[in-house]
Amino acid sequence: MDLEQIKKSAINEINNASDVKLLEGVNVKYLGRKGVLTNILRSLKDLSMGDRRKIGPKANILKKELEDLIGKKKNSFINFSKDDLFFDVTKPGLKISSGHLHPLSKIDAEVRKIFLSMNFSVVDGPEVESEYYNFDALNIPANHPARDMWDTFWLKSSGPAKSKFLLRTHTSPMQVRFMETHNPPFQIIVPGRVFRYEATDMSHEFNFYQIEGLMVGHDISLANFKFIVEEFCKKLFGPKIQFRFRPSYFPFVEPGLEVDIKLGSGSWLEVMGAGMVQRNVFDAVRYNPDEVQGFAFGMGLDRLAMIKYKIPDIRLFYNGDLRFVRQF
Amino acid sequence: MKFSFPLIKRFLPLVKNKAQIIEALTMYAFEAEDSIGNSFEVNLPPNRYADVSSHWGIAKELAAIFDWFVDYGGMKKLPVVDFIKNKLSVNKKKNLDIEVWDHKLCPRYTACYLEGILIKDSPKWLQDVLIDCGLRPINNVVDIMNYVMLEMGQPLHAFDVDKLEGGKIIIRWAKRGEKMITIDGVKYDLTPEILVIADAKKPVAIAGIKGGRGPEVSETTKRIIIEAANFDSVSIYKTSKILGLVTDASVRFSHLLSGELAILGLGRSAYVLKDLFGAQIIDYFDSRKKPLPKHILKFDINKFNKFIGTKLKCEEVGAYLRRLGFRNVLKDEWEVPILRTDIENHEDVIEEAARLQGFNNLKPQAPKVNLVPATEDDVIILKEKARCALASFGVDEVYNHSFVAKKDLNLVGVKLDGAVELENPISQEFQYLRPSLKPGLIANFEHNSKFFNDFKIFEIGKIFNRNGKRIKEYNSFGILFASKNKETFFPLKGVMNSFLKSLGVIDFIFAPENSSKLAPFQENSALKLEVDGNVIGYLGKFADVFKDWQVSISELDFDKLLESIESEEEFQPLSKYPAVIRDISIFVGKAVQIGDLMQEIELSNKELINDVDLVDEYFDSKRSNKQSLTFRIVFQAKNKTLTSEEVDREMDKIISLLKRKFGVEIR
Repeated sequence: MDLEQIKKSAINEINNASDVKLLEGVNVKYLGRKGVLTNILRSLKDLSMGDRRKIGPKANILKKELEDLIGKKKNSFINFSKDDLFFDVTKPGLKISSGHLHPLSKIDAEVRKIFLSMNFSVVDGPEVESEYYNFDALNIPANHPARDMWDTFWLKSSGPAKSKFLLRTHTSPMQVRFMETHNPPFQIIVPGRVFRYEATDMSHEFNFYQIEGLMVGHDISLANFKFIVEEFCKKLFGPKIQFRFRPSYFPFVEPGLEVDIKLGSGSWLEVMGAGMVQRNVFDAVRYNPDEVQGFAFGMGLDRLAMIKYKIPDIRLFYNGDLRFVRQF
Repeated sequence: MKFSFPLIKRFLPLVKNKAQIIEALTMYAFEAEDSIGNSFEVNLPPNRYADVSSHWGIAKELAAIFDWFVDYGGMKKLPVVDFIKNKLSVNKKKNLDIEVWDHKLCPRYTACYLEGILIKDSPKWLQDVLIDCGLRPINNVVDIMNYVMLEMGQPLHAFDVDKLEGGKIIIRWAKRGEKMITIDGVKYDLTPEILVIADAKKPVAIAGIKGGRGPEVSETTKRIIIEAANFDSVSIYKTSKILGLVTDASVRFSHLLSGELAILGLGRSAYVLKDLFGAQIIDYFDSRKKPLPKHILKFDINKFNKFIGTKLKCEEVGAYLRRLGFRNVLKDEWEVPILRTDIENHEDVIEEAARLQGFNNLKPQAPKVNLVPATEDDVIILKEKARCALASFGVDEVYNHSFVAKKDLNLVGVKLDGAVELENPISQEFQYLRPSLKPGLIANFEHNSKFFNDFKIFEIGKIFNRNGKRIKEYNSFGILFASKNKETFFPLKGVMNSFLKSLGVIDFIFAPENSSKLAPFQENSALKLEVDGNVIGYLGKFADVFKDWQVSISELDFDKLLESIESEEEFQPLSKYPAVIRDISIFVGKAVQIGDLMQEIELSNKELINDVDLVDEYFDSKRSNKQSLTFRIVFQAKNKTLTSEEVDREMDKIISLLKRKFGVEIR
């Protein structure tokens, strides 16, 4: 085969190579260790000086030429080639495993962020409580039917005890604990786990989360409460939310209210109990009820998360199923 | 509590339907909802039993909301027998021989003696009201007792006079050992703190709760005594709990009724018995000789506006109060309706006017406050930081219940007296407060192993223990790595390293711990985490109870972790001089711990050695008692470029150290 023929067939084959593998085959065939052109170049030393001068430079030029062509073609594969699937950008990206936060942690973070932005501080409190903080100081006396509003888990005491311990049935005891050690004006929220002695079903768990709110000053009014709550709900659920404020009863607030929200064309959903702090609670923490006033509220974090993320069953939060957690 | 729509409609002819009532009550008073047939349900708050646990009460409430008047069938008020006007005087020796022994537990006892009773069925409309409210019609006398209770809220009881021993009624404490069988045939053992209604010989009713067998009204009854009393709410509540006996009457009395309701209820029941069945009212008894004092409260419009956040005028608020039955006696003095035992102070009055105005109609107002930087408690900040760090390391978060079973205590090696037990657990599965997060995480592992081959989970939550009388709660952090066939201990150790650093814990060490006493870890596969000499938790390989699975777990005291956090990140100048990397491969006895070797290398020159890493590790079958290890050592000086000779010198030093201390051979 003379050089012209080699050139012709090599170029032809390079042009027809449809992927890198085939191109590499062409490369090996002509330029490899035992390639056609390599053999010619290697055999030069056996030729006469005249032939060597005639063929040598041409063969070297052809070698260079073919190397360039193959290189260019190779690049065309690496660059985006329309009719070549070697670099398929539609292949899935590398899977980077990242962990998932529990939806209750996510909504807790979001709620805290909104309240921090409204100048509320965030305070933590104990889950095991005394009867005093959970009930008495909150104007829920012993032997009053109002106490039956909270089904309580009691702790066994070892031996005779002066006061009984329980698992807090709400985050409201922190109102008392905080006010005992701080002076108004202030505004706080208290997120935390609470407990109710009741059977579990789609909307009840025996442990769940609440966020307590308390704002006390010299002239903090019920209208202020409405402002704070509406701002909060709009930030959490979007500006199109509708509200309903209606009377309710909790012994530690007066007036007592409940707040319902409506998203889109859905039905009214109860999200919060609230009211103006009852005078007896201020008495219990040695505030002068004639000089300070303020509001308190409590909402179920689980319920907020269920509404926001459209979770139908509260029990999903506490069974540790990663098929659930990994959706968030 | 159930209510009958037709009875409400009798009081309020203008009312259209149940929906109208439900909406009005829900928005201005208390929650109400629809029920089957003619009835609807009201979720009465504990403070309103005194005045609205009755159709009359609900009708008055609705009239206040709609600004209507209650219709009493052409009368000015609800028709009752006015005993004083009718000049029926107490003549106890003849017809009513009643003694009240404890005026604290029974502040008022009223009774009425009637003759000419003919027992038959009550009219259909009356029976229908009872049925709407979930009661069963029995006979005219019993039905009227129930009807008047539903209508006015006062529990009533009728005794057959001829069956009362000695014709006597005594309100006294039960005697020790006394028993009573209630009208439904249940026997109760009575104790001296229980108040009873007795005849000359024996108890005939548990006061305020339930009547007894004996003098109950029967087919043959001709003469009756109606009891309308007022009992101490706490005493009734306690007795009801002790006996496990909850009745319509006990619920009402537990909520503190007004003494005035007793005489009104008595008068009403006598009126209805006379009106419908021609009963003759002969005599009455009232233990209270003087009328109840009026309750007057001052109302301050400025305080109202400041409290609620409005600018209402005195007349506007006054109109709401009038609708609710408050009477303006002087300029700013208001008389509280007699039945409203819940109105005690100024805020109570404010609430009444404010809710009638409608909370929904109140205009929101931004509070005026001094700006003080808002803060978060440290533990809350750290929890969030920890969560985000772990998520970035690919660990998923779980939440578990706070309760565990007895077997879970054994699993984590907690003794019964060190655990906190519930007095009233939901079930044995949830009998104790969790002393550790591990049982929950292990349960999560078992559950998720059905769906995944490889996963990592963590939880942050409270754990509890008991030390004698003291119950303590701690914030805890637990993490579990599980993999089918793949090793998980070192991945977990690695994540814990990065996790602690990311939280700002600087000086921590993982030291081997004898795990035989550390449930639930495998022998020789546990580490303790120490910060400044304090153990803050453990990390270990789980005892091999799970087929094919490798499970490693760590739990840290989150509160101690919080205390261990030293500082914020601080910039270290970048070295301008290049690092030199050398590998060293050795054979060393199997018993030698890699941690010790690495520490030795690091300490050989703290200035120059930047990092030491284990890059290769294998066991040669020919040298079965040795391990082969390769360490990569990074040398770097802060002030100069290290020469090859200088690094060689350091390497020689390291080699001789390792040879001398651990008997290593260089490969």
